[in-house]
Amino acid sequence: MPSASVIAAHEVRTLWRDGRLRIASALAVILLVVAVVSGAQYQRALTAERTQADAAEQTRWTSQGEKNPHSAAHYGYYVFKPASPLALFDRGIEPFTGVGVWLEAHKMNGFVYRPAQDAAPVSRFGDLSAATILRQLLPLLIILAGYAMIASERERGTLRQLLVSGASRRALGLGKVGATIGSVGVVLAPAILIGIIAVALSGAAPPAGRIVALLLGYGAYLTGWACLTLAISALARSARTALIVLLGLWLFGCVIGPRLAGEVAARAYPVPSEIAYRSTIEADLGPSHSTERVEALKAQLLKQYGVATTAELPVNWGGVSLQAGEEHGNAVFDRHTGPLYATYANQDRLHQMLGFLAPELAMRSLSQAAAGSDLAHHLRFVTAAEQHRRLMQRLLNGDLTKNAREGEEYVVSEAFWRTIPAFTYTPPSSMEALRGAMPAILALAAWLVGTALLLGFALRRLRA
Amino acid sequence: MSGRTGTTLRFLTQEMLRDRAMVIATILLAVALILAIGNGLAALAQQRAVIAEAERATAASIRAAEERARPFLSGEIEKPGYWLDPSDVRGFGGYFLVNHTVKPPLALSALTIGSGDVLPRLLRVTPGTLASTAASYDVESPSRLSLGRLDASFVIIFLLPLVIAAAGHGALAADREAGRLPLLAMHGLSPQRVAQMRLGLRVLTLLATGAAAILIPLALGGVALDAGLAAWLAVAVAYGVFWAAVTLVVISFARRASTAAAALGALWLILVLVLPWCISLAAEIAYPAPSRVAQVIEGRDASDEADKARSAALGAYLQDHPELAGSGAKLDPEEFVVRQITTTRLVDNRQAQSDAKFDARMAERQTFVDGLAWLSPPVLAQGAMIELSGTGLTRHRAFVEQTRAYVGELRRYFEPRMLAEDKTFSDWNGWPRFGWNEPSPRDLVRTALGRALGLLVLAGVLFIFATRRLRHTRITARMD
Repeated sequence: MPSASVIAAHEVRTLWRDGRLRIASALAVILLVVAVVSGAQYQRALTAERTQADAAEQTRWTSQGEKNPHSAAHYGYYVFKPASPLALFDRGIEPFTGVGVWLEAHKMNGFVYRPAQDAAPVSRFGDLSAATILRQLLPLLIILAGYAMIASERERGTLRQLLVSGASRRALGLGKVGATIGSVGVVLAPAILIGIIAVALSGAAPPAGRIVALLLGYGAYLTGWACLTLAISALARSARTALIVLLGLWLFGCVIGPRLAGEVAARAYPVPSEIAYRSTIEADLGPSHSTERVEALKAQLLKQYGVATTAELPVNWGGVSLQAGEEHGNAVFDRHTGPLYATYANQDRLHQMLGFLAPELAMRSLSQAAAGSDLAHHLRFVTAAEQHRRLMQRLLNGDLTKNAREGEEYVVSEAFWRTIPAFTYTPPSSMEALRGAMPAILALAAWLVGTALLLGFALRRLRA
Repeated sequence: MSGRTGTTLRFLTQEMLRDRAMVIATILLAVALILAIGNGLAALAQQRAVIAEAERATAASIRAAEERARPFLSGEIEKPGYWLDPSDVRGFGGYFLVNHTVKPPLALSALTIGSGDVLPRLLRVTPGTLASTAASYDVESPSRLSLGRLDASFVIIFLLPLVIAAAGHGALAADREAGRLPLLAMHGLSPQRVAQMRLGLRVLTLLATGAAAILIPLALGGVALDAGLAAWLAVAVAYGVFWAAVTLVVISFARRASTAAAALGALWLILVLVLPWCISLAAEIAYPAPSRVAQVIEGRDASDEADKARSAALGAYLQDHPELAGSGAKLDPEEFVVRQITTTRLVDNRQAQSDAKFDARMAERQTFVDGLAWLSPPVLAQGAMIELSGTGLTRHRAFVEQTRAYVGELRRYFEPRMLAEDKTFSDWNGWPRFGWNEPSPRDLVRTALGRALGLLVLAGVLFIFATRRLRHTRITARMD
């Protein structure tokens, strides 16, 4: 009575004898290794470049010489987004976000220089990253390895022999799934090894939780494809039909589905046009140095201190009014960026939900979340940068308010710039990052369970 | 057409109509194209609406400025600081003017969104710094951008080959597997002829359906057939013919339909996914883009240097504008507007050098990609479609160039007025407006037709090769 392990061993031998599959596997291994190595180089160069740029900006800030704090506020400070250690595996949305942002007085600037803007149009075919290969190519390799595993046995009449010899349907399913996964594992092993070495050499080891999430996520995703492939192979009348159905499912799930999801989400949660967005913010901000708002504040302050002129105030009126302007601006920015980011997040959530129909989308979301290259990580950095801008303005205006005297030129010494804390960014913990990808995790779990159940159903009704 | 050919064609047509795979493939292609063009037309309408919105915003800002300036000009109200006063040219040019340069979308962008979603279609411009032209873009979720767009080009480049493969992979193997080849040979139909006629009929049906699914929605959307659209269709048809030839080659090798399907799937994967990825990666490695982060730092350095050399910068400026040196206007290098004009000029010069270096490298990279594109028909076809649709880098570079020239024009208008003694402004309609100058599409059409011809030649070579192989096909009733 052939056991699952005997069936698996036999299938692995058969697959290995298939020259086409050997070529396809070799191609996948080469692509994966190229993707991991080039990803590692890209990530290392990016990290070095941004570390240097951050240091240069900090030096520029602290050595700007004697200056009025408000001049320094306009002089501003650039912060650059750090590359996540796992970006070598999955660059996620990084090519579509800017590289850094200028923090200055009165304005919440946007991120500048999206890499995709500079890329040749051929890059829109996709990004050769290890994650793309795992999500799009390996399912295809699984299909090629497994579409004929049961259907061909039936066509050749060997399935009847197998069942008559006492092989249980459970052993048959487990053996063939095991063989498919095992053959894909052979492709994955060298890339995983190189990936681990590259991450270790980068010097910025990612939290183990993220790596575990990636391993489990991709494991579930690829096992789901193996179960689906064998289920269709068992259900289809011929190997040809099985192949065509599976290629159709792959095409929808991995190629058309994600693009369709993007369109659906953009329709469901539309974003405003650039002009509408900017002009509403400008209208809410009001004219530069708005007189009405400033005059009201002045009156209130004079009344509060019981004086007639701003010169008599115990604080510097210029500093107070500048900080009030900042706070007004901050409220306006929050009122507009909040809903915009919520729209982005809603679109993202819908992409994840659509992962129940096209598992590539779910895997994509989980992979980007674990790699630290998803929307949530980007928005966290944007928020951290904006908080730092506000902190800088508060400290600069605070100094003006406290120390400047009306009618007198006021400058601070270079030592003052060092009292403004340098920008630091802490990425979310593994748990925090994965919590945002919960719909995707559920979709992947549903995918794994659903395809396993389908395989069970197909094996139960298997007729030789 | 001889009677036998006519009878054969009738038979093959009836057979095609009964073939569920063919019917599904045809419907799938038509539905996908109609959906994609619907998407493209919606994007086109949205872009046009944004441009109209920009024009309205400019008109509204001028009206508001004129209204606000009226009491200041008549002397009814005392003039405030210039930043609050549009009747002061420094206030109007620096704070009140809402002005954009606009790259109007071509109607063909409804077919190919290309890089149109990552490249800005309008830029906010003032007489001030040029830096904003390289760093602006539309409001769009980066997640959505990373997923890519479902447009007609995507359907043609990615789906059409698979649809052709689905419809044609069994063009000969099905007869062989059913043991019909000897029977057909008895009627004077060689395997070569059967495969060619069956595949030809199916590919023609698919291409005709595809053309109708493109042209009808476009016509309903008000897009007229012009040279650009004709060239786009020529590229799409040539690409389809190339895949038909690939299918014929595979048919000539494969003895079973499932083997043909698997081989076509593998070829699709290599040509449509793997090779473009490799070309993109090779281009990045061979011609890495100069660092944008380094460019930001260079810009900051330039700004610092300019700030330190304010007086010298003013001298250089006056050397270029001698009319101001003798105008009686007192130019203080510490005055904010003077400082802004002179430092901006130095920073822009440095930025222009850095941009030129960047653009030169990008042009080298594109030349490299264009050369390698001949290795991958999908890249070849996609490149031609993007350029014809005006959603690629060529038209965008023209836009950035025209924007730079326009900012120069704005400066020539505003700067002398800002530095003159009398800074009163009331020329509400006289300041220079941007007019987009559409580059001639002739070269793009010629390049696209060259690529279409290249694809047809490649298809011809493959067709001849497959025909020669099919001539030697064994006719047996045995199932292999």
